Amino acid sequence: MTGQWSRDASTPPFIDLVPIERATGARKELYDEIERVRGAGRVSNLFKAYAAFPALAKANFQRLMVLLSHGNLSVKFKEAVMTALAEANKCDYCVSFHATALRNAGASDEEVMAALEFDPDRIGLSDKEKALFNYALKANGDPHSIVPADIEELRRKGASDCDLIETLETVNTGNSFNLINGALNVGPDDFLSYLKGRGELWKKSA
Amino acid sequence: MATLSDLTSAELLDAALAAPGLLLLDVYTPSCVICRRMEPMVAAVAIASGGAVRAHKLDAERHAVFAAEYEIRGVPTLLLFRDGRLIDRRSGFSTASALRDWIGTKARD
Repeated sequence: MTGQWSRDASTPPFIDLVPIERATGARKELYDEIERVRGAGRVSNLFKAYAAFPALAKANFQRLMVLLSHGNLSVKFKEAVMTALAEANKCDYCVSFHATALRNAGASDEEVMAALEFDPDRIGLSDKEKALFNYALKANGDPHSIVPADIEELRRKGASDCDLIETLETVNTGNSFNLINGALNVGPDDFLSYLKGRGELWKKSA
Repeated sequence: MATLSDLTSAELLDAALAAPGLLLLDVYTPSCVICRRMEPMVAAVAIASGGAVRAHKLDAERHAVFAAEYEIRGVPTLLLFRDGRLIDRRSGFSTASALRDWIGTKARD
């Protein structure tokens, strides 16, 4: 068993995840902003960890909001990419979080499973987004393996410069969250629904 | 989390090569970062094949004689066997989609 649950199941996070009711000062301002956007009680453990550096946490949350609310590509596409990256990076919490978000973006259970199996043909994406999904995986796997023919194929599918940046920033964002959660042993949020049971199963079997 | 079983001994390698059907060997080294990133792709393809493709990983440093025999020049290298006979190979990172297309083409040859 690999991934964060290969640690003992009782191992606590390596950083203080200050609960909402104990937040003060700049941390409370951050939590208030996240609750305003996501809803009451929905401050993720990731951002509780990030909040040890409140200004950076706020900048990262704003960056995430820009990524998800601007640009040309669908939220479903971006969450599918981040779900796949979480699986590839063996971040169980990130799988739970992004699979939940992917379902909230309209994906079926089968489409979530397809993202976890790195198969864009079964996620219900446009032809352009299918190609960009594979571009994202290749950028994550080995960015220097991307050759002009890969870009030409994306152009034929209608990908713009903005689409490429949007896709790569989705990869960057997913990877940075995977790393923070993995390195700090940050676990799933109570408010996550999808795959939470699977995460708990992994935890018990580790 | 999808991972590949590691052929850690010559006996396990021999048994894998002796079994009939399609076998995908993911040749890696422990220090190879790209190999770690590709392993979930290979595992997902094998699982989705429903048993049509068996996949294992093989440490090129542990199996130096095998690596020399099959002229492994870099990792990751994927070796595709049918009934124990090498039918194709590819090097470097591949997405799961690329692997599905590759294996599908070679399986029809």
